Amino acid sequence: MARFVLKRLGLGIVLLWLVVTVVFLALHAVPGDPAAILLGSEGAGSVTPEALARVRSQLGLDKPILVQYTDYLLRLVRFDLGTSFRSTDVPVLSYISDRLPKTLELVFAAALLAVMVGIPLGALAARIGGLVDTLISSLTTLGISMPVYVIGTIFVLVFSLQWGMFPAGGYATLEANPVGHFQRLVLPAIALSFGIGSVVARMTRSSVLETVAQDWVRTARSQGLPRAQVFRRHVIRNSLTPVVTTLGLEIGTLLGSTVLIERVFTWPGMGSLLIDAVNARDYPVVQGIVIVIAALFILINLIVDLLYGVLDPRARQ
Amino acid sequence: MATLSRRSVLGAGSVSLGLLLTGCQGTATPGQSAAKLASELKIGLSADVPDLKPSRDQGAAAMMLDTLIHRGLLGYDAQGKVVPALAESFTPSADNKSFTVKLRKGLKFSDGSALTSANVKKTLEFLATSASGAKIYATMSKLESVETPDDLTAIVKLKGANVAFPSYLADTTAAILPDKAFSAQGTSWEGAGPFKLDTTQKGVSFTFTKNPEFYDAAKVNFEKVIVTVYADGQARLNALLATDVQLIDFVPWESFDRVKQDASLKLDPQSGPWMYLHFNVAKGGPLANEKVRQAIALAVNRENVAKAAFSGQANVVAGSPIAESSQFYDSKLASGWKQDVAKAKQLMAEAGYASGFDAVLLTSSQYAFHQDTALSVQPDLAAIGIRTTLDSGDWATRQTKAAEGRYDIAVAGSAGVVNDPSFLVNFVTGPAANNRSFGFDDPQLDALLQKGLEASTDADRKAVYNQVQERILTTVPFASLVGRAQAFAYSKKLTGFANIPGFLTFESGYTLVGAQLQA
Amino acid sequence: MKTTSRSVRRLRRSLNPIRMGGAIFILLIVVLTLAVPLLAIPDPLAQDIANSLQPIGSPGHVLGTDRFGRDMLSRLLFGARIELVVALGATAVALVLGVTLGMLGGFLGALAETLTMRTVDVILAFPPIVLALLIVTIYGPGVSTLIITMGILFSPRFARLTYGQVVTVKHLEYVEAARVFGNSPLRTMLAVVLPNVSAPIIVQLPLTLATSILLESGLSYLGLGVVPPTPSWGLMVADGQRDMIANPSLVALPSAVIVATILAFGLLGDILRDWLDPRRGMASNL
Repeated sequence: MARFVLKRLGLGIVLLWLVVTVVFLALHAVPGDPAAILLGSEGAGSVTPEALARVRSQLGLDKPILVQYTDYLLRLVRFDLGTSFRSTDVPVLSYISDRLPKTLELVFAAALLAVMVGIPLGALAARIGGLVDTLISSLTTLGISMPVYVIGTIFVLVFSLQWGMFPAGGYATLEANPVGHFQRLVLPAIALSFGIGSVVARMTRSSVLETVAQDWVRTARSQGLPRAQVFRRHVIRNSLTPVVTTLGLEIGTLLGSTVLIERVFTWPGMGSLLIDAVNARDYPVVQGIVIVIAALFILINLIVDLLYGVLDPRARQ
Repeated sequence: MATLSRRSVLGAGSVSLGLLLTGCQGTATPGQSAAKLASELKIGLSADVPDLKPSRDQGAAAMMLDTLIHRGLLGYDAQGKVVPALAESFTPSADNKSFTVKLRKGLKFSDGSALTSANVKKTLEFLATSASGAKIYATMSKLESVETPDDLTAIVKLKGANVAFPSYLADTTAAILPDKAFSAQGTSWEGAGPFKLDTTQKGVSFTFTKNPEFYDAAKVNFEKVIVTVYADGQARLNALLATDVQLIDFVPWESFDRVKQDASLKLDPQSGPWMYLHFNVAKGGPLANEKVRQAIALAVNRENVAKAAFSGQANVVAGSPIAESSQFYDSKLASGWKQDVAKAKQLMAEAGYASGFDAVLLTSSQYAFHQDTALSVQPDLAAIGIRTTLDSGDWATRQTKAAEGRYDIAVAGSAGVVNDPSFLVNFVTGPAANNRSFGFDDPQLDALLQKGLEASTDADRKAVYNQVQERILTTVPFASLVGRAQAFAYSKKLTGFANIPGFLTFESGYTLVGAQLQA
Repeated sequence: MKTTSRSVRRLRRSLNPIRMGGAIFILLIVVLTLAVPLLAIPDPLAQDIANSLQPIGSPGHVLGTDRFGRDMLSRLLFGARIELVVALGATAVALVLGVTLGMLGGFLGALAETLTMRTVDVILAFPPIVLALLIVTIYGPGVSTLIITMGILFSPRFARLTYGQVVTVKHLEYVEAARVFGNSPLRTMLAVVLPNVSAPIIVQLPLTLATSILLESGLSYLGLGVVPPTPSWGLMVADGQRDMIANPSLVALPSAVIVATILAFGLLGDILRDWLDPRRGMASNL
């Protein structure tokens, strides 16, 4: 078991190293001066000698590329993500550490909802079948086809602006206004959980149907075990492993969807920060957030892998 | 400008002291039962200000923050009248060429350091230096000297008479700054204003607490002011509707009616700022040719801009932005740029650009009205052969690019600094700035504007300003589009705050001193 | 022949009314998109501010107009063109890149396998929109940037499918026989492996198209995809938000079209999967 954990951990670290390398290379992917490219993307007439000099010194682009790379890695190890272009005295890490908890709260709430609603729905659809199944399957099909910002916008339109049930967005701190805080969490969390919940529900349904069709289930039934008990105790547990894997994979999509949802509901998390930074071409902040999100994703998948190893001994080989 | 003698100020002071004493009981009028007042005010602001440099023109949001943290020698009241602030008195000489400033006693910055005439001298000289990029540089460049006979007195001498000089010093960008603000990267979050910065959540909010060193601290009713950034107009409005904040700036124009329909909210619009296009002349090429600029001014459909970008809450300005109510308004000159597409095309041909040219149109996606203005004029420009691509990033980027001349044509919205045609000088001359044409230089126009400052009679001034307007119609330092309504919206429980009329709308933060919020 | 009739039977079994509907919808979009230059609809960029914010069913504007008076139907149709161009381009890039990576990794030994499959892992470590935003920050928004970026982001699926197939097939006797007979590895790859991989890849194509549209519309919603005033469905949703209380159709119409298109491609994927590759198919969901 320990070897399994260590191996997974090692792979995770290697992957993280590759990821930060790719992010580093993104700036140097195309031949040409990265500073000019960065400024050029802001629009024609953007590149002046002063601006070029400013960007070059801020990103350390005047040094040879290997030096830049090693500097970059060394700084990352110390959790130094550079300083923002817009306020040169503000370290990117402080921006991110401010916003990360808010994003995590949203992600966690959405994942929780997705699991709490998706798994039972999927199991229900598999167990009962018929009209219920069709209804749930239609709902989930819709759920995976709707872009998350469409869901969010419709939520705002219907539940907030038309029916006034919830505030349309924004953020209230837990200490100052706990009721307001949760009021503002409801809509974005549900909107976010729609897509991933649908995937989880579909996965659960398929997995349950597959498990039920397997020989050992029929054996258990033939030995006289009641249907419900077989279902609850054996089928569900065995069906869960693919669902866990799916959830792990979908966390990536969830993190991405959070970016859009934070925009729709003006939730001041990392997603909003990312979009602001992209609009301002504040490259250090964008780079920092991308690395943090990718690291988060790798970490979560690592945990899922380890969980999988716990649930299914066969995986530990 | 009315003379602010010490006696009249003292007189006003004693009256206000009396009011203050009754006000301390929490009522505006004596005799009423004391209403409970909130100690905290929450404001929703349209843009983040990552680095505050009060002397520069950083936009309306920065000006709001300036009114919270800083004070200059003079300020504005709710009616737009110049009133004393840090200065106890401000006396012009007979020829309006020198001004004697008497500071109040015991002035301090929020960090406790003393504010003396030395700080006044340093600030005014800073504003008068071209490299500082001050918003009011065009006026301050006429500074000759600042003498400081003692700690409380400063004598400001100008090279030429300027009867409107006090108005410039009442602007937020004329705030008196502590020494550390003048360092190379100097930003200034400490000042002599009613509040001081307590904490920030970068990009999200600012928390201010009452500054006990403020000279008028007794009148300040809020212990805390929390300013939250809502860059998206709809989000800002929603925050007000959800009572997350009690006051917002830049009410989205399409939502004016929505606010009016809400019984708990007040919409406070004024017509003031004006939208215009400015040009990169330094680059050479077609935009350096005044016929091309004239063509652009004649090609745009201003009614469309008013409707598309401001839901009709705007009026056409087809000449220099001089208010109809002003004595300097001339109806013929005010429509000098009335849309005439045929003439525009002819001018393009005369300039040698019959087949048109490509250009970058700079705007910002952060303010929807800004981008909509650009989208509205795009087809108008295309109709005369100018093929524009939009360059539309966030507000800070727009300001930087405009100041550095990284554009061809730019959309801008500005308020003149003062409600007097002399403000035009800020838009036609001076070092590079983010709200005027890059590299534009018209000595003849500058001379005319100077004449206007020096003219002694109103009749003379009118004649000169007519000439100024004619000259602007010809050389087109900017192409006016519309004058827009500018609105704040706030809870009806907030009293005392007012949207100052005309160009002074962005100075409205001054009225927060004395404003109260019912709990 | 037996194979043909079996495949036809599978096709018929894989269809149902809903899926047929989806397939027809896609056909409709494709036809309309191609026909757009011939249709008598107004210029999607033509502003008519006097007629802004007209509701559905107004004279001359069947689906109403937006805040600049631009015809909504026209913008939706021209938007469809952009969507399809971007989606097809991205899918093509993903296909070529992914299959190449998978082939190389499968055939050329351990080093190639590590390089290619680790590359795939790295791409998969990024939530797609986040990497796309990184690229947009550096290189700016625009159709070509989008196509290349999305192509790279979606290549892993194809790479893994191909790789899996190659590894399975590599040691089969007839492949080894082909090698013995002197065929170069490349020819063997192309002649033998490709046909085997084609089924799962074809099934994957409409799903990649759907994901492309999903991602591109999300980026356009943020204003970082297609550059305005070029119409894009995502951008239309974002623009429509300002006026959505009085004119909900401005948001509802592009939203509905986006959802319907993604749904339709998903259904198409289901049809293809049940027809061509039923082993992979799990218990069918609709």
